[in-house]
Amino acid sequence: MKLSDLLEDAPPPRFTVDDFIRAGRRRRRRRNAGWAIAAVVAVAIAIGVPQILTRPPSHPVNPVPTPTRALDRLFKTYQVGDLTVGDPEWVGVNNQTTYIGRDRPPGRPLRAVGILNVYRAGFEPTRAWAEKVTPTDPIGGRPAYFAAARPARDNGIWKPVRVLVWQYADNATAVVTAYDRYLGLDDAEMRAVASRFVLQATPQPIRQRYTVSWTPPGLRLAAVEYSMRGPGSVVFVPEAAAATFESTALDGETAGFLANLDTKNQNFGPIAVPPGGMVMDLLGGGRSDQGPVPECGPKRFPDFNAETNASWTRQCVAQIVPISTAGDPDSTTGLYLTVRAGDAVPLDHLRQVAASSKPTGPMARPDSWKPSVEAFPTSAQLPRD
Amino acid sequence: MSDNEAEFREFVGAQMDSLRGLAYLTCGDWQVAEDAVLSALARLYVKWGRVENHDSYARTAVVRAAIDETRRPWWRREQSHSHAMPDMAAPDVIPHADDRMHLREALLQVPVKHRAVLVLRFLEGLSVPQTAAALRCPEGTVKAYTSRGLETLRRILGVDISLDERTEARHEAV
Repeated sequence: MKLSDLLEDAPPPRFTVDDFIRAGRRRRRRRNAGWAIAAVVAVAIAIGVPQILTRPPSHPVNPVPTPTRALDRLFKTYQVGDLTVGDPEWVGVNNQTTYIGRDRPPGRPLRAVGILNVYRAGFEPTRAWAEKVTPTDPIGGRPAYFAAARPARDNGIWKPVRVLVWQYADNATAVVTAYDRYLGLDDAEMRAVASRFVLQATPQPIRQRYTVSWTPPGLRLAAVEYSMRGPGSVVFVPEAAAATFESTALDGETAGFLANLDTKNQNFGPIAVPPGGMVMDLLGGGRSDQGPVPECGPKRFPDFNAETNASWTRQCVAQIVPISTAGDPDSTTGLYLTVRAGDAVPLDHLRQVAASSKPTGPMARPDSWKPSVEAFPTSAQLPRD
Repeated sequence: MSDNEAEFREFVGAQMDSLRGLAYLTCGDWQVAEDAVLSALARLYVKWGRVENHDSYARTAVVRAAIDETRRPWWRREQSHSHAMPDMAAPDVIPHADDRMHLREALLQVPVKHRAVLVLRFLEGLSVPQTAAALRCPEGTVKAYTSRGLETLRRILGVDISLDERTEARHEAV
């Protein structure tokens, strides 16, 4: 064993030679401009400080939200009476979502009664509740209020009826949404879910069973799934949409994992592709006659619902772990990767993404998989805060 | 484009992968390693005309930057290692993946300065004097760190390891 063996599974480099040249030029400019900047700063301090000291007090201004790159689970599953709040099922660049389930007799799955949505600090969530709000006692010393949920598309499973919005940290919002099924959640339970919420001391990364070394220019990694549904999906959106992207509690994605809590609701399917974006799904199985060379063409996934169906038109499929009869945990079922997008992403780009994929560690060794920040090209990720 | 810049461009193209690997083995994180290489080479860019041995300067700067990154306070570090995932014994379908993981985990438990010495000597193939010059420390310190680093690896891995030293003479003639 040589030290150089440890470099065999190096992720694709995130910097090109041009990046190094640019960094060098920046450094030289900064150095050359050092004295000039110092002089300007001195003048600014001499002029500005007296003005600031004499300025009348004004309302505080919220910092401009900046996107985060780390895709780590901020919290972990916890219990509140007969309610279970799950691990984050979707971890996005701006928010993380999970289910709230109610216990049933032993051996029977939880009943989905609500959802928890946690936004990163500085992010202003889309207001999915009515204008009229009812303030409630502070939670953790920070303000909180109840409101009626805005009417949402009926997905045939549940409807949101009431929300509790609170600040779990300075300038950081979280929302508990109660649904109408199985008596949903009452106000006391919603407050209890919020009161028991804590951030993990060490956020845990979402790991990926595969890596992709190329993604279409202009698309940014927006969310990754760590779900009880099985091997997860990964969502990319156009760069302009990434800073405001939210994995919402009302679309097919979260409907999927909420439905999965109840065996009567197994009617979910592939998640919708965001406008102009791309979705990768890692699925078990595949075809024994298919190899790692992508097969590309029009949409072939089974139908789900009208909104999801209309969200993509083309796809590529690559069998990244072949089906065989060798008997090991991977090859008994195989793994295939589907890359889906609408007309905004050329089929050749989807082909290139699928062709650049390769498996990481064994299926039974999640600790050997790659953290999401290493599994996808850094050029496709948002800068850290 | 100036001659210096053309030379720098050629140098980066040729050395980027090896410097990236050097930084990664020193700090244990690809993202941090690339940040270290970027900042080190940006410094080299500014000093390109005044530095005699570009290889040596880049190597030293990268290792020192990678060591500095490991000394950041914990709240400024990007978390990338999970402690929640269970270790489960399973057949290894990727050749030598287990060996690499064990060696990588063991290497990360070696104190960072000892690790830097091991990487310079056994990955880069530097001699004791060259390693001492790169880390700006006495040769006796390099020898002690080499011995202690290897001892730590042996203790963690539970085997009598022998890292490949065949490359050690590679830079002797430089």
